[in-house]
Amino acid sequence: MTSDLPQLIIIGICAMLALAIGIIFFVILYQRRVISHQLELKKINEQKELELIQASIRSEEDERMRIAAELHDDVVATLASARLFLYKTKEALYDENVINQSKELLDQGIVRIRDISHKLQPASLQHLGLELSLRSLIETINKSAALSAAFNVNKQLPRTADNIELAIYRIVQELIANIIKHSAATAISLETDNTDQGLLILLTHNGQGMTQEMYESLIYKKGSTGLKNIVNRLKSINASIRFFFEPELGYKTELIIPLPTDSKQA
Amino acid sequence: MIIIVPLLIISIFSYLVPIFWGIKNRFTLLWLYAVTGFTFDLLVTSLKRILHINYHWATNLFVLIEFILIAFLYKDKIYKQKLSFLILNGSICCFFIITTLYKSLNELNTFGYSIFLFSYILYGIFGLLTILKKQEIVFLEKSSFFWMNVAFILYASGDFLSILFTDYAHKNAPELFVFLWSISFKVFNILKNLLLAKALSCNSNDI
Repeated sequence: MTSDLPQLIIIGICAMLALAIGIIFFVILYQRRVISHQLELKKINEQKELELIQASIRSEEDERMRIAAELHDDVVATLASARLFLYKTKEALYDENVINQSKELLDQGIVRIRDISHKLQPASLQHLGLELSLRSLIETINKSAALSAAFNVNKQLPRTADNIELAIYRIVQELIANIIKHSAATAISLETDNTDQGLLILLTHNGQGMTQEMYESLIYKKGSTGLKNIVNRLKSINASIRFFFEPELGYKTELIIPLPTDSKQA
Repeated sequence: MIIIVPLLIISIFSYLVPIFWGIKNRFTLLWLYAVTGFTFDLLVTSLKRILHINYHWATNLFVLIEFILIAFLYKDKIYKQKLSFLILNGSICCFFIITTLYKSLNELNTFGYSIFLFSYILYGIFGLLTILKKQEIVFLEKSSFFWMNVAFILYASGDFLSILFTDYAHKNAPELFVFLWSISFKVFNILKNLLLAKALSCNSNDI
């Protein structure tokens, strides 16, 4: 045994060196793997950011086109008709009927311009707050008779920054528009609560809804501009969204919006 | 063996590589370590080969200073509390001093030196783990701390058993002793100094 010791010492030194080299190589390879993973993540995030920016630009363009179309097809047509009627007054100096029709057309034009303006920036939001604006939105849906809508406030919503209220309103508007467009729902319910986590908004419907997996896969796909706008708005107010299904209750969308500490109770 | 003297000279002067290559990082602890190593290697060689007097006290002193310098190099990297750093390293230093005085100041404390080398291996491994854990260093090849860990791990792994069995080899296997002390030890010393030079020359001075 003693005569073997020198060889064992040499073998031991070689083994320790091999182990040390192994540890160093492990660290190098592991670090490279981590870096490549980080680069991949960075690339995905950049791609996602790009998609969101593109969606935002596309949405802005769509909105402009919609406003242009409404102005051209509705308002311009109404005003042109009013102009024609007023032109007639040149021939018949005072025709009460023509003047009344012109007045009616001008009133219609004013109402349509007000509608467009309201769609661009809901006046109620700034003056009356989020709670009443959401109630007004639900009432508008109810009036359309396409589906029945209910609004329930568990705890009075506090007034908060204009940009936060507008973002929440737009998100809810977009979610409801999506439900009307895609889910074939007959009933919709909007519930709000003021919790410790922040403002809670729960949207429930009885149609064919969306799950969290579907949402997460759709926001990375081309198209789905509405959803990407929701993501942008959520990011801007640091809010979170969750889509889930509850048997017997239907599909639910839960929004949690952390409110600034200085938000005042209305 | 004809290789022994040139290897000894190369080993002593290999300290100059980190000293000059790392001149931009001069007065850092790692650079001071290289300067200390060079000074003591010259001193030990002079005592041994020129003055022919006992040199082991100088080696023991260098081994202790080397440990203290290396411990301080890792102080902010792997120790969360100052107290644990002081207790652990203080205990090891005390152990080395007591065993050296118990054995003889004029004899190399090989067991104490082995404990030091073992702690360098652990320091190196913990240093590398810190790199993986913190993920602050993106490019390892540009990190001084990474190269310092590599240098100490390889140096200590190569020398640990050599030093531990020096006394045995000296008494029972003279050829092994010559190999361990004059070749293996010197080769690992040169390798360590080259790696330290790489560490000191890195632009990202994270030590």
